[in-house]
Amino acid sequence: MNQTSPRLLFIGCVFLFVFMYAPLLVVIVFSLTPTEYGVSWEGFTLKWYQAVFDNKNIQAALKVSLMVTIPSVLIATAIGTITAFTLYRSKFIGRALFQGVLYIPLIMPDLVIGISLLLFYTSLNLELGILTILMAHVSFTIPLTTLVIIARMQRIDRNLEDAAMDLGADEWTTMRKVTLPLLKPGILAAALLAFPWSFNDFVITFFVSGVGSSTLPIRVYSMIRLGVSPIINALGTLIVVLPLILVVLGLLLERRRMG
Amino acid sequence: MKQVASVELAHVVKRYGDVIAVNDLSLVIGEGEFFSLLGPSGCGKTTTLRLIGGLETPDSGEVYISGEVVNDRPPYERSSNIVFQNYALFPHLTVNDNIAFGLRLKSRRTPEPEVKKLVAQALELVHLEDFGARRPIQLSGGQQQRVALARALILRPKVLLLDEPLGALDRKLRKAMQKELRRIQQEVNITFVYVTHDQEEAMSMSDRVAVMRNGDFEQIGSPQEIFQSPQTRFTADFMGACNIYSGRVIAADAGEVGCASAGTVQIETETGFTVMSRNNLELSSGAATSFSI
Repeated sequence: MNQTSPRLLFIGCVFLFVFMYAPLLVVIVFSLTPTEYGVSWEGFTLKWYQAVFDNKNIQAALKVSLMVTIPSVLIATAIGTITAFTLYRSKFIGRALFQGVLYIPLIMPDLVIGISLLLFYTSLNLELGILTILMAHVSFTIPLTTLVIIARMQRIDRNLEDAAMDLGADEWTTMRKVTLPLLKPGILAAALLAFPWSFNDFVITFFVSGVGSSTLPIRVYSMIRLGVSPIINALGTLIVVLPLILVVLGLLLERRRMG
Repeated sequence: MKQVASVELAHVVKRYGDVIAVNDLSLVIGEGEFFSLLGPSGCGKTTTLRLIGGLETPDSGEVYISGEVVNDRPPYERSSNIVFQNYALFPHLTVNDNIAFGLRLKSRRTPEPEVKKLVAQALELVHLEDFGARRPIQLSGGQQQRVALARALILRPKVLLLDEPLGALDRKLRKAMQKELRRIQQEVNITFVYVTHDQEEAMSMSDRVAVMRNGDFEQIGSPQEIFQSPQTRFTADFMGACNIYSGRVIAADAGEVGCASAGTVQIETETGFTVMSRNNLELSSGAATSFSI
């Protein structure tokens, strides 16, 4: 191997990163300059961020988003934990099938999930609004949380539970004092991954949200239809950076426990 | 040795699907005995241990601890404790908390000062006085092994079950730990049931040894008996005998009936030699046999 090969690899990597992150960078850069139209840098300002925080519509949408995301993450994580326990611990017939079915929503197009949920909720005569958005978010977040927790569970040594029982702990105490503490990083990682998963969703939410119940991504979409304002850049930056921090935290946590 | 047996198995059978892991085992282990289950991997020795500890339930037969049938008792209601092969220390707890785990459970309700005292004593017993605040991951294999031992012994079990506890240690450390285990066993005077595939280990530590094969006992006896007069070819082989001969009994004298001293037997080997031996297997004339010198 000669010297050019690693250099080529390096250049390839740089191109890849430019390709992936340059568009994001454009949004971030132009959220920090007063230019309203066009693409020239005219000095630094935070006025677009100010405008984001002053915008009543964005505030209302953020409120809807959080009202959906926080409960749906909590519910999906709780159900995911119980489902993971059931799938991993008990040996009922059709267990493998059940676990396989869990993957389907992860590869199914959002469009199909959105339409089917819309049809389902309307056939139940549910009024479209925050409740239907919440239900939809819980249902598409559960596969994610369950799979993350199962992955963690598979790394727990079964002998540890045997040891706890052998030392005098009944099944319930064993779960409380041994299994759950060992599972905690997995549960936390699942919740942290589920948060942006739910918060960022546009397509599915678009189908199941009613009039007056727009989440943040849907509000942004309707604002763009009236022209791209730098407010969107500022808001976009915020939406990218905040969940990114959460995901990085989640991954770091998971890696630290793997050690 | 005619007291209440510490552990007794009566015609115990355990199957996993079509595989018979333990086949009609009967065994009596005395109070304070160091008893080893010796055999190659897959012979059912670990299953036997788990049956005594309650982590497996027998398909048929009875398991007794101190004279009581414990078949239907879960592990947390048995007066036995296990030292696992991979130690199974709780990674989220310190050494102190690992050792105190059993004492602190609601079922035992040990007051905290008492817990502290007992943990200190247990650490002393296994020579780990300065390691209480560490996490298991910060300990060497030998130290982890001793924590596992302390965690089980602190509960004063009637029987301690050890599943290849030295398997993961290097040879030198293993030698040292064998002595250590024997010392601790005599100090606490608890029945030890010790599973191993290492015949040298079983020989050097045990009061009695049971050689296992395919879920059944080949021979039970003192290390000396098993080493000097193995009763099956498998046992002899497993003990490392290298001069095994096959032959046929040409004359047998059963000895006096009911008398301890056996008669004599004359065996002709396939290569034509004739050998005289004590007939402690009650062989009759014409039987095929093998022996080792």
